[in-house]
Amino acid sequence: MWAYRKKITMSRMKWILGPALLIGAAYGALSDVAPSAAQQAGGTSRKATGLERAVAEPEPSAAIRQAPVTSTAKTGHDAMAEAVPQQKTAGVQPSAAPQNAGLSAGSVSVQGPVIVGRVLYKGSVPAPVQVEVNRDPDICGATMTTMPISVDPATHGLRNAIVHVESGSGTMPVEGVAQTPAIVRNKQCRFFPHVGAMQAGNDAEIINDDPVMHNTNMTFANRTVLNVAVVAGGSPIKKPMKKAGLHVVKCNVHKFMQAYRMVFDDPFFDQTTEAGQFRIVGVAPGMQTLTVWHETLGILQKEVQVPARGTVVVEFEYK
Amino acid sequence: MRFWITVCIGAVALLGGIGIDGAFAVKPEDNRATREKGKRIYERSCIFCHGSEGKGDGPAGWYLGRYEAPRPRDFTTESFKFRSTASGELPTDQDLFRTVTQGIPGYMPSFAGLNEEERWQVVSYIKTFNPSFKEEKPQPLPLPLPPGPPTDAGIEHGRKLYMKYGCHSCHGDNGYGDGSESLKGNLKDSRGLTISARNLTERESLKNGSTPRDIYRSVMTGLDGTPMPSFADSFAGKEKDAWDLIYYILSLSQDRR
Repeated sequence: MWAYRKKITMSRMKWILGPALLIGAAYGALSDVAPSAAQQAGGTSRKATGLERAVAEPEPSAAIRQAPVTSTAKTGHDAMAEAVPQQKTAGVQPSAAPQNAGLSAGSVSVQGPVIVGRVLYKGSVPAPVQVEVNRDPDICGATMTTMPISVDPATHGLRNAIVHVESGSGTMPVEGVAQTPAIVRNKQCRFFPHVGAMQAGNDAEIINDDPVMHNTNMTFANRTVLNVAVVAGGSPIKKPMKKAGLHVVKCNVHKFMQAYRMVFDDPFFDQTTEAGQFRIVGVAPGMQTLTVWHETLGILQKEVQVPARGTVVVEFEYK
Repeated sequence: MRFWITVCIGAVALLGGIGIDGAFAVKPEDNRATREKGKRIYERSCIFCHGSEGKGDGPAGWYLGRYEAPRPRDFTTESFKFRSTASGELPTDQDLFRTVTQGIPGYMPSFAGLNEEERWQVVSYIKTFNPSFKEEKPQPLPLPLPPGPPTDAGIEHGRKLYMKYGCHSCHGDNGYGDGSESLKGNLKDSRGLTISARNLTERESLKNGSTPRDIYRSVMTGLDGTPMPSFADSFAGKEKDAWDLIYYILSLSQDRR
């Protein structure tokens, strides 16, 4: 009796399970429509691979980018500081290439000209602007002041201008060069640094040091590049910056917070120091266009003849 | 036997239910003929608000008030609010299909009156307005099923997260959309127009859908072009916390007698 019932059951089960399995298979085939658990796991692992790649960046390429901005930068600025008083306008500095102009990174050696210079502003410096703090005064401070233009009084050097070589070609490899995450730090309801430059493909690392929630909303033209919540005590958030252009950074919780990140497709840029100095290495020889950008003063451009070797000194002045 | 029948019926209902939830559909081939047909539909259905070039400048947009937000979407340069992808990414084809199908409560009508094939044709045509659709390959974020039914303790935990994660700054302490930033008019969209935070107690008015998974998606992806940020990184590895918050948000729209 039991065997008979079992037989019947099995034969009926075929009719019931068959269509059910078919539906299951169809659902599996459409799994790109409604992400299945397996796909989610796949997505996570893809992300992990990308993250590993970012963390374990090949050392030589990191060293190439690090070299000009850190160890050699000071020497370049010093050399320029001596050269500038004699040479007010753009031109070729008839000196031999500095010893550190050739950047070595492991077995890779990059030789090329160096562009050094200064960005000056001799006009009247506007007074600091008082910004209304409409939220969280215990953390943000009762009042906040911002400096639209930051100038070194001794040298007239303009800080936080960004200089870029427009051609984007050079003796340095362009692809996959820089891998230092550009920091966007929320601290006492300000973004640090206020202005920054970075190469596309690199990560922006968003950090919140404040005991309140911020959101970091980066826009490029009309499009949101990223808008992430950074809660108090949360882990830093890393996001790749994909496209070149001027990115405006805002926090919608604290409307008085604003910063800028300039993203370039190539590594031929620098941000001026407190004395208004900059240094760019690895640019291709020939006529090059240099562009300088400042958040309130705007854009200046200059044509510069870059020699095959040696140093070019360029000076920009905002009127 | 009866047990197995129940299981099978349950399985079919579950699979069917997932299929219906969120207006998913199989995407047909995207080719020139599809886009051409999509253009014809666009020009009789969408053009009045979104404009002939997809810039969101159609004549009907004027009736909304020239400086009233939200404006009809500009497909050529703007971000897309309703996505399943990370902040800053384009929407997937399924996302566009879902918005066309469901509409946006209070703003855009549902175009479920068009058959699925026609809606896909419109999606194909909309994508031609923005060249980024050819360059980028948006990937959806994981959209899991809820781990279980809501519990009182979970909802209470969600309420704390709602305050901790700053939801109240815009949506208000009780979710009426009366947070201080919203009331002061500090919230701006990507065009600089003032917008207000959504009233979470009116569940049917949630523009990106009102099922638990719809709200989960909005919280995780953020609504690009608006101040609403993505919380995906804040909730990374804390899925239970995320669902507690979602269930708390859902509890705001329960009967309040």
